[in-house]
Order: sequence, then structure tokens, then C-alpha cells
Amino acid sequence: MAKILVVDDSSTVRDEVAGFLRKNGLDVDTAVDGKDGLAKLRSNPGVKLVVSDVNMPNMDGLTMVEKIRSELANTAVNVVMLTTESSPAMKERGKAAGVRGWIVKPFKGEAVLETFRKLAG
Amino acid sequence: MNANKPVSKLLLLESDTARAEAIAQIGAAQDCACVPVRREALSAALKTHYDLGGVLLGEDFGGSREAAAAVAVALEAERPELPIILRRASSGSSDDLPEPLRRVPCGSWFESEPETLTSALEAHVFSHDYPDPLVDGITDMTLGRLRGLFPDLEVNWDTPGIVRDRIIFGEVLTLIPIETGWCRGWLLMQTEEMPLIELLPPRSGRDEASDFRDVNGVLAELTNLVWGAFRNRYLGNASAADEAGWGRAQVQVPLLINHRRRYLSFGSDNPQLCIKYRLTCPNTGREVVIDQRFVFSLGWSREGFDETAAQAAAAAVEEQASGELELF
Repeated sequence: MAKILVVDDSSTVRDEVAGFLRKNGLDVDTAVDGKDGLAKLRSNPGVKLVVSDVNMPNMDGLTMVEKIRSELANTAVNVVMLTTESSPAMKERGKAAGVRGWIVKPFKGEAVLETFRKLAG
Repeated sequence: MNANKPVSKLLLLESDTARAEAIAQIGAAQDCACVPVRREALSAALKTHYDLGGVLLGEDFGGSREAAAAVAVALEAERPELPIILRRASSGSSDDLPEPLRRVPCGSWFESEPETLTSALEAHVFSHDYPDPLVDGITDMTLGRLRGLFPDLEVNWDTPGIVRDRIIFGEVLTLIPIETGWCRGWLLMQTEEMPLIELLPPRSGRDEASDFRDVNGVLAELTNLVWGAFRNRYLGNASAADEAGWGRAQVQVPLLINHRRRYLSFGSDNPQLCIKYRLTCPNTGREVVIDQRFVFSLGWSREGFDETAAQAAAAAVEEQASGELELF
């Protein structure tokens, strides 16, 4: 069962992030938007870390986090946003929803690998 | 000059004083303030006049075409963002010019046809329409994103320019709305499919070769990254923007795309800021061009752009920090 779920509407980003994490020995699943991410978390509650974009169609990343905490009542999973957004207001909303960390794209895998391992452990 | 229009400052590199005065008059009529500079003072002038909008270079500046060519090379190295407009003595072929005078200037004009200078100024002096710091910011953030997406390729860019055409370049294009208090319109990125496919790195965990889907994905992601960087730098706090009404639905006009004629209209004739980026493989020499346009077709207020030098410096620092994990 995957320990990390990468949620992004961009196949380029999904391939890049998931490919990097798999290459480094981590179990990874992917989802194409917040709705898909929520469904995958529902069917796999063993996920320890969600790495998610913010701006996505159907359901944005922050709404997904709010629903993870409320609808799924899952307060254990760590969520890190990987996004182009860097406004303080957006980060505040993320914090309030229970987001654990924030990365402004582009993704630099080596810089975050060890932290991801801990959060997924 | 029109007191209500922004003035662009141009370096005027001509050896003949009378000719320089005549050119300066034509420039003034186009809201360009020409600053004559002698060859030996050029280096100092480039450092002093950081707010230049371009350079008018005579093909014999410094005494010969070869001397002028050396100046073009020096300008390209020191201030690559500046559009250089070359004065030609006659409207004959450019084949007999030294290579740098054919390659470096983004436009040329002919002394016997002063109207060609007017056209060149309109086409190439982008600071008339868009302030230099904005253009610098856009190129900085785009170059950073391109280098992140294509770490193994050399990334260069051509001098920005103004276009008003409605012709689709290349084969793949993306569009994403840009909405701020001072500009409204579109960011457009376009390129050609096969040259980009040939430069895409193999995807990890996948054996098959890259195809058009990868081109679509990469161009879309590049657009998303530049759009996000633009918003973060120039829109700032999203909630403040909403309070100011920027985030609310406003007037829209339909885009018109005629596939058969490769025609794309944004509904207004506002000048489009056009920047071409060149990605080159250092091993094979293969190259692809990515054409970026900012089309503020729905609204533009030059006065609304008020980024200070300090804010620009802070944005550059923030650029460096992107990709780092901020834990809450």
C-alpha cells in the first residue's frame, strides 16, 4: 500500500514528483485532482503523506485538505502543499485546514527527500 | 513630445553630430529622448543610464562597420535586454555587413527612409508600452522556471519586443488569464511540437519515447509556473486583491481562433509584449523556441505598476527560496 499520495492535475508534475520519490525507494500513488485524491485516501487510509497542488479543477487542494480532516475525520495524515501559490493568505488558510508544510514550485526533490521520509514514516 | 505619454530614453550612437541631431528629432516625435554618446564614453553611459529603452546604432559608429560591430557585441554582452536598432546607409542587402551587425540588432532602418525609423521604434522600443522593471521581472521569473524544468539545456532569450499581429506561432499554445488591478488579459505560451519532443528528457519509470502528450504537459506546466510566479510577485496577497475587487468577475470578450488561417484575436489591438526563449541542447545543438506573450487585451494601466527597486530585490530573494519546504 502506498505511503505517499501525490495529487496534481499536471501529469508533468505527477510524473516528476512520483518518479523521484519512487526512485528513492518510497511507495507512491497519484491522483489527478482533489476529488480523486479524496477518493484514493478514502480507499487507502494507510497513506501517511499527501503532497498536493492547490489550483486544480473539480476540487482544489485546500478544499481537499479540509474534507480530509472533516469528512474522512483523518487527522493523522501529513499534508504538504506543492504549489505556485505563495501568498500569506493562502498559507494561513492551509495552516487552518491542517496543512503541515508548504513548497513553492518548482519541486527540488533532494531538498525535501529526508523530510518526506520522516513525514511518511 | 506628448507630455501625457511615457518617454523612452535611447542611447544614440552616431559619429556625425548633424546626423545625430536629425535622428534625435525623429525620435522626439516618437516620444523617445535620445542621449548621444561618444565611443569612448559608451561603457560609462551604460552604467549611468540604467533606465534605457534601447540603442540607436549607426552602422559606421566608431569609424567603420567593424568598429560598429564590436560595439554591438559589447552591448549584447553588457545589456542583452536592450533592443538595438541599426541605421543602414542604404536599403541594399545586409549580406555585406559584419556578422554581429546582422545578428545582434533586432531591427534596422534606412537613412533615406526616415519612416522606417518610426516603424522600428514602434516595433522594438517596448518601454513605451511596458516599463523595463516589469519586463525584467517577467524574464527573470520565466528564465528561472525554464532552467528548473530543463536543467540540462542552455536557456537564452531574445530581446523583448512589441507585436500586434494575430498570427499563431508554432503548433501548440497555452492561454491562461492574468488578472491584477493594473493589467487584465492573457499569458500565452507557444512552441513547436517536434523540436521540443527531441529535447525532452526521458521520463523516470517510463520506457517509451516522449510524444505530443509530454509536450502538452510540459508547456502547460511551464505556463502554470510562470502564471503563479507572476501572481505571487505582482498580485501579492490574494485576499487583499479580492477586497479590492480584482478577483471579482469583470468584463470579458471572446477570443477568436481561426485554425485554417492560424489566426488568433484577443478582441483589442493593445500591444503584445513578446519574448522568445531558446532552449538548446549543448551536446547536439538542437534548439526549440518558446514564444511568450503578455496580451493585456482587457485592461492596462502603466501607472498601476508600482514595484519599487526594494520590492524587486525582495522578489529576487524569494525566487531563490522557491522549492524549499516551509514547515508549519
